[in-house]
Amino acid sequence: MTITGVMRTGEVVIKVVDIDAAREHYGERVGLIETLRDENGTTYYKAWDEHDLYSIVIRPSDSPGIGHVAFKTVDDAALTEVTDKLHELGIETTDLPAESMPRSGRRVRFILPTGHEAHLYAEKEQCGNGMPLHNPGTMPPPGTVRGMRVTRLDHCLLGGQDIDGNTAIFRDAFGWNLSEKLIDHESEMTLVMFWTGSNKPHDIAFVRQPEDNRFHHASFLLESVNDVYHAADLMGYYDIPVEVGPTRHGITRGATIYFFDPSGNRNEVFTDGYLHYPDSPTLVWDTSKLGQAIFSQDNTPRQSFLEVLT
Amino acid sequence: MQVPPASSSRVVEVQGRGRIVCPPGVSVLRAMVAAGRADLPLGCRSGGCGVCRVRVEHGEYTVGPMSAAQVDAEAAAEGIALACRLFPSTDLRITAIGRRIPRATAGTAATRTESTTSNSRRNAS
Repeated sequence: MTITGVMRTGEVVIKVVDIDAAREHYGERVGLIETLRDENGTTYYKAWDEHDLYSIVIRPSDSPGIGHVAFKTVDDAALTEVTDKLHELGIETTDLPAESMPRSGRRVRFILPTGHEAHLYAEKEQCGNGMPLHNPGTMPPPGTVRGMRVTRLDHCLLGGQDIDGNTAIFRDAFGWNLSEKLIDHESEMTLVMFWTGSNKPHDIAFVRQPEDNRFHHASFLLESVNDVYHAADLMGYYDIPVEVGPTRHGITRGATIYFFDPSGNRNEVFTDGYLHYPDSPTLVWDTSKLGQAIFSQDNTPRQSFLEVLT
Repeated sequence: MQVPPASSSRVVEVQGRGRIVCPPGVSVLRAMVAAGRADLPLGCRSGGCGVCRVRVEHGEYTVGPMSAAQVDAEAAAEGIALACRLFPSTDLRITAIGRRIPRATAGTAATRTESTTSNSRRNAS
């Protein structure tokens, strides 16, 4: 699809209790590339094939969870346009000056109906992916791709009460599409919503939860199912807590592993899935097929997957 | 790897559930998982989610880093801990109390405790 307006989930800030353990996890085990670190210990990472200076930020805190999620627009005009649409919907916004996040341009901050802090931004310094822009070749210098071989930040899943309220933001202001949803098979209440602004099955998702502003997971894109299995081997080697070993989702048809960082924040490695277009119909799953919707190889939901958030 | 002498392991009695034998330097939850037991619910295993929150009724212990949203200083002083960050110094007696849930009502510090009746579950990881 032609990607216009809001391009992607470009930045997730994850709160961590033990910053040294978190750096070992995200930097050495997951294999993200550290690009910045500030005096408070906040550490900025990119995955190797991203051009922007950072997409995953870990910030010291006394409790885990999400700091904010930020969405990148194609340009500054789109940032203004989307902000106007938010105002038309009655969403209050706050202007943040350039450098409120390092090496990034002006931002517009607002709170999602699910209680999460969200930013829009158009500019962030680009440092490249290690390959030339002219005659780039096919791989970065050996040693660039490390750890779990993550190529990009893919998406995140957040929890809160008013997930239906987020529809106005993502459908009406962002112009994104609802690729899939999970509903209760008796009440037909929507339990999880999957939003895409691209050809991917999802760029962000929301799960209905009794508490607002909760973090379910951040997901890292891998190149292949082989890399999913390689990541699983690394998790075993380093004794990283794994929630669900390599399997596939019914929803999105992505191959997956869920695991936890040393502060209890859930991470995912993810690959595959289908191509979404604006004319792709919204796919609906209901809880009579909950197991298959979530984990489609053993068709068995995990209690912790539904209840454990930070 | 050197196997620690059996005498240095500590026995953790989970009230109404069972007993976990905990080798030195191993958290109560990790020892439980390693023994294939399910006396306590399993969540993030990293001090964050709080589903393995317990009250230590008897015994001495040390703890690792935990979420303050689950165990604040006051709760820690009262013997509340997360089993995934709980390291026995002596034999312990503990009670599962479930994760701490802040009330949705703004401006109150009151909390309620989630039922732990479903905690015989195990992850299939």
